[in-house]
Amino acid sequence: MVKLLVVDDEEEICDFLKCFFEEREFSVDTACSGFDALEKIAQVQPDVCLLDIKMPGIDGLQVLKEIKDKYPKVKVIMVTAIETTEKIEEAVRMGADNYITKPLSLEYLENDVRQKLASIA
Amino acid sequence: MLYLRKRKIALKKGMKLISLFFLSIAILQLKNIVFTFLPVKPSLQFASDVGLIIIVCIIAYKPLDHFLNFVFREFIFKEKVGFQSILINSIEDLNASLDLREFSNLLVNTFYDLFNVKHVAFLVKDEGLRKFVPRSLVGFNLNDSKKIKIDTNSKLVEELENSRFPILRDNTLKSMNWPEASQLNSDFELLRAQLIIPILDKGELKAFISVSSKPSHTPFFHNELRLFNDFAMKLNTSLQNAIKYEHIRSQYEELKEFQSHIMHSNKFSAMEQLATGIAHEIHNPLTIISGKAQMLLLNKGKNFLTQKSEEDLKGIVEQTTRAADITRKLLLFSRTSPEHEEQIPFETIIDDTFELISYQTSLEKINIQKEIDSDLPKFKGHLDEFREVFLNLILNAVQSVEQEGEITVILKHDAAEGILEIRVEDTGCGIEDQVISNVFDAFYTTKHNSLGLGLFVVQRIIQRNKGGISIESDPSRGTCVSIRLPMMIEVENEMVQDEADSRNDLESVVLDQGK
Repeated sequence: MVKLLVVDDEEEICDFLKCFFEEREFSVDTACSGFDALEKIAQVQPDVCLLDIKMPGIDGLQVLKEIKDKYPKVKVIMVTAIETTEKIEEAVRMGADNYITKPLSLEYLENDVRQKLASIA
Repeated sequence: MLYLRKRKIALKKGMKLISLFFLSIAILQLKNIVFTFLPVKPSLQFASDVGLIIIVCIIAYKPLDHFLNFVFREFIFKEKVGFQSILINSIEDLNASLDLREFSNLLVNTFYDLFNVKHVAFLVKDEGLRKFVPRSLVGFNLNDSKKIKIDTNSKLVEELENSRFPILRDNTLKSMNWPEASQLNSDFELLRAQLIIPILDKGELKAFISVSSKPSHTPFFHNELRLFNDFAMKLNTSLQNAIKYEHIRSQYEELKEFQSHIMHSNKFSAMEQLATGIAHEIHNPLTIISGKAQMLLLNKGKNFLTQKSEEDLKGIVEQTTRAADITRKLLLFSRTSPEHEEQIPFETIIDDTFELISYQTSLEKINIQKEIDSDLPKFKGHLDEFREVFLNLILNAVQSVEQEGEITVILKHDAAEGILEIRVEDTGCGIEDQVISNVFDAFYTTKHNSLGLGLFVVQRIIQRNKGGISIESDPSRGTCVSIRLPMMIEVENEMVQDEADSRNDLESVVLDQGK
């Protein structure tokens, strides 16, 4: 089963994404902060990570750096509320595999996740 | 003081002409004498004439020139322009100059021209550094001039404050014991000074002029020193004024910079922060609303949705996207642009603004259009300022039209006058005659929910860009706001160049004479 980690400081967003992907036969874990995310990544070693940028404490960019340093095989899709160009450029430079902006189109998101998985296989 | 230098140059040129004149007379005389003793064949007459002229020129020109120079400098020139009168004349010039840099250059050049000395320096006390630093120098190369700094507690300063009179190197050193003398001597060496004239204010040394020895090595006499002392005393007030003026000017510049920084950062970063915060806070709930609606739609089979509920859910998803777009555009408009000026993409700004208000205009059936000349010249300015201009003018037009009308934005290039004209016309309700003169006032408004700052801000921005703004209105036809912006890029470049040139000139004075 494909392992997905959803990282967002809004619990409700985590919840419905978990629900959505579980219905599509993914094994989904959620994390509500950057710190939480780093722990979960070490535990589950997901295939794909959906990562919010703006979070209290350790933000998405720091988590991204950590993931790319320690688990370079994990595909990371940044999920942002606002697309300030500098933040996106920085994320891409740090190795983010894609970024999408909120509000999300679930269909688009699913396609993107499957695309990333296909590229691993 | 330039007149003195010009006069000297003119005199030198004149001297050369006089020398040549004397030489030609001498040659004619010589020729007669020589040919009476030496019989020359008539056929060789011309060649021998030329030969003679060349020989006489080579032998006699330089000594004659030097001799005449000497005579004019030491007797005629000295008689007519005694240094007392030059000093007195220069006091008037110096008193008239408020700029410390100009003052210092004038002062140093006066002494340089007056005595034909090699080195002159003018040092002014820097209260912050607690050092005397050179404000103008002649005869020093760049490396040496960088080293010149005299501590306020140095032996030289103490000596000048004690004597309250111009001091001469040799006399002062002689009157001292060896360690003191060697300490003082190093400062004299640094300045290459023979004479130092203090400028004191209430017994405290504020500045001094150092002058190296005269080329003839004749000493400075006591009556000369007395004159220098009077001169320095008379300079004190204007020097103090120039220092204060410079201080005030630098504070003014600092204040201006600080003010513009505050205005800019306050206005835009606060707005940007607000917009970013709003975008963030709104996008998260929108994501949840839209996400849940999408989930219901995707599982419509399981959820037994009626046709009507399905359409409502689609509506919810669409509307959340629209709400997100609005905050995104708000963010786009509030983003701080870089401090420097850039080329203004007028058409893009107009398109962005149209898009921002497109929802409202389509709702109110307002037809909005643009007419833009194809040969628009490049215009440099602050992007965010021009966004503000167009947003304010177009929003005003929309509010004035209310429903069913036309708004036209026109951009024209008047090449003959070098003017870029911006016009925003509407077919709205117009402005009454009695209030039209107030529309540019701050906080003046006829609307309920308006701050009355729109046109005020626009006018400020246009004025900052050296342009003009006017408004015409007829309640039966509508309103037209016209902006005229001068194209002044070339002029600005020239001004910068001029300033750079004048700075180079000043540096070259120090360098040339240092050689």
